[in-house]
Amino acid sequence: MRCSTLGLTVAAAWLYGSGFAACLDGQVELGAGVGVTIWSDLVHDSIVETIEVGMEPGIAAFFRLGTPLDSNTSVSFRIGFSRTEMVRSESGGTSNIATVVAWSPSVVLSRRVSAAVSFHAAVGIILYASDQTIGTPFRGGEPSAPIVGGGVELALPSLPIFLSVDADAHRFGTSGLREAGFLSDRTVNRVSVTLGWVPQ
Amino acid sequence: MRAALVSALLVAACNVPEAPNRSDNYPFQGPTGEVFSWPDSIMPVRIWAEDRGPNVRNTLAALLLWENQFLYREFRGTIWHDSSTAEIQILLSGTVPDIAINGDSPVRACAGATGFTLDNGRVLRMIVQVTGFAGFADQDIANCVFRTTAHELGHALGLLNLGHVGTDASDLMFGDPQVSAASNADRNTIQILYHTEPNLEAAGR
Repeated sequence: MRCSTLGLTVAAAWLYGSGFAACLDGQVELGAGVGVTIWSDLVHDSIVETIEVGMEPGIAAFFRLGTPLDSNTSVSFRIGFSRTEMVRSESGGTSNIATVVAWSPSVVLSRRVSAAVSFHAAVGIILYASDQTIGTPFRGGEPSAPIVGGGVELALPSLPIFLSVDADAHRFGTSGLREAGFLSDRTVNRVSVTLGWVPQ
Repeated sequence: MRAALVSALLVAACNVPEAPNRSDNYPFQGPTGEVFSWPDSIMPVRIWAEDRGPNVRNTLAALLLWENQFLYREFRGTIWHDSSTAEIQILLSGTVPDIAINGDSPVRACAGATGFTLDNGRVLRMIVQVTGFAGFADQDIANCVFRTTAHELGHALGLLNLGHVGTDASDLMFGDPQVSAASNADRNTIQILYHTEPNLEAAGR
């Protein structure tokens, strides 16, 4: 919850700041989008049987504030948000562990390759927050980690709308998992598909 | 540059940490091989604690202690107001001062026992009885009652190894509990139990 509050505060400050900046400078571009994120598994364990801990597909959203560097390149600050259910899967079925929110502020470099298509790369940090800590991988605290990613954006002709497909990767580990005997973190990949909007 | 980044991500993606070694454990089966754990279908398990002295506080602390031995929320309990519809009852008797526990050396100033009632061969309810002894220092009784409440709750969660075979003094489930926290073996054993197929079912609600 601490991370959620922090993230909301940062997002609110950024939105306020971005609106103000946009008023001052026509080169500033505001964007936002909503969609879905899918995750690779977070934990692989074996207690009598194999246990996989992962995330259900969850809602995704982002806000960004960017400015052009030249006619085809731009840089932006982006805050990503994802909310989903952490679940454990084993032979007996799937059970919920916790509701998890992940905030991912990042700096994004975009390169337009045609009128409708641009590619981007991003680097930032992912901050986890969970509604449950006792008896979960978050029992020693919710983690944060560097995150890298990239994606492609398809602009829809004559509409202020675009489709963004993003992939990113980070190392997932918690003090609870390390205390339980996991000796290293695991790489987690996420893929998000979002429909975005750019105010004209 | 791009190829190097993709290669690095792929290599990192192949790195899956090994599952922890949980070989430090002890038997959890009952005297005649019973294996019991509370099923997902009735969680959170309802735990009623007699409102006497530190019993409710001890029960809540013991519940959190055991819940936190799990990594994937295999067990969840809740303090319940109605003894007749609770799956676990915690009763307290004897002389028990309502004071906070501390780290004094353990003294056997109390005793505990756990039994269960069956309904058509299925576990209906676990009943824990903890008794404080007269004639000991208040602090020793309070400490002993908490240790014993946590120990007996372990039995009520399904650690039916009533003879405490394979445990030692560092384990909460040692026959005469000397510690008030779960050991590595306690943690491993309860985790293994909750991923083992039971041969004794809960009656359900």
